[in-house]
Amino acid sequence: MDKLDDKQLFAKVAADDEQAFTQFVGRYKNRLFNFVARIIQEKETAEDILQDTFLRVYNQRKNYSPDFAVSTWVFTIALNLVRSELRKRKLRRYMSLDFLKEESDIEIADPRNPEPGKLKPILEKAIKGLPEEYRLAFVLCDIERLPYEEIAEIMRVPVGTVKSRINRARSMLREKLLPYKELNYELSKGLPLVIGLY
Amino acid sequence: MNCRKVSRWLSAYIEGDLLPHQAVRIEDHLRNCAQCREKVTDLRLIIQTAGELDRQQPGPYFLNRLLCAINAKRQLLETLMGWRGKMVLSGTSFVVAAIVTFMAIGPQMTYMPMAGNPSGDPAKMAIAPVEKQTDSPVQYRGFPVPNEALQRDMALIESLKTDTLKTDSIFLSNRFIQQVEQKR
Repeated sequence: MDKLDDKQLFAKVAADDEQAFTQFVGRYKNRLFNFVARIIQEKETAEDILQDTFLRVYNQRKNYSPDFAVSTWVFTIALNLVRSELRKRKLRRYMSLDFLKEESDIEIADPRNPEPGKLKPILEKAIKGLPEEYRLAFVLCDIERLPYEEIAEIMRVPVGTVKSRINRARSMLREKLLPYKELNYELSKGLPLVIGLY
Repeated sequence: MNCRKVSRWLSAYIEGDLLPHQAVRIEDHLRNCAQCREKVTDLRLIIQTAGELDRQQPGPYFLNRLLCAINAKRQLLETLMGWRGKMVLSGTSFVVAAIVTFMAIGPQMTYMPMAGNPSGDPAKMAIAPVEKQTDSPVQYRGFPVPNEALQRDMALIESLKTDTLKTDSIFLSNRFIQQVEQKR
């Protein structure tokens, strides 16, 4: 069953093969969780959304249209649930007036003595600070490595919009990381580091 | 090509998503612009690092939890479709039918002929509005005397004026009381 592609495997799921469903969940759970958790930024809620996604997939297994890639369909369901959760959060945030609190952009523990080779946590934090739609596009493209066309279908926007959002997201991340570079931070691994141009 | 235009195409350039002549124009600009060259380096680094970020994973019991949730839902459906479910559904539908029947027929029952309203006319069923009692101007030991009592007394006084027999008897009795008090 490992050798089956997504569509073949899902055809078995649609035929009520429980083993195939377990296999399908095993194939997608980490990818989906990584995507959902990066957008939701809360592990428990992300796991609930992941469970709801698979429940919906299971309930709608007979309605799946093979015209779409299975991954597109599954990611679209997950994205709908993520957006619904974000809407609820916005409302809660508005009701609780939490939006009045200002969050610091990126915390620098000790800017004069940064630890070398720790770009990953800084980038993680910078990604969290991106606006919602840019974050979605960036995570799907540069972390999940999905093609532009698939991202466009998942996000229900034209491919050009996806490209523009990804380009903008990368530029925003670069702007957020610039202070580290100015502090003679070792951004690259072996790449030439240019200082003083900014 | 200026830096602003180039920056719009940098992502596509990095991913090799440009047509050959577009890529040549970008490369021409990059050869002469250190700032854009550096931007390309930074963007490449960001893309590379993003791909290497630690992948978050659900808890170890996620699959069990999911399968339990699916089984629970399936059992619920089976129960609803089984004889217990049918009993519950039939009971529920009976209650719903009773409520609907009451809502449909209930209001009409008030128009049915009955004792005190043989015509069944709802207008006659209406209760006459209660007139607001005005405060009585007459008080006895600080308490207002009810209007009905006042009217009754006034009627008695009027009748006393005309009925001389009663007046005489009251007069006589008053004189009798006065005499008794004097003897005391």
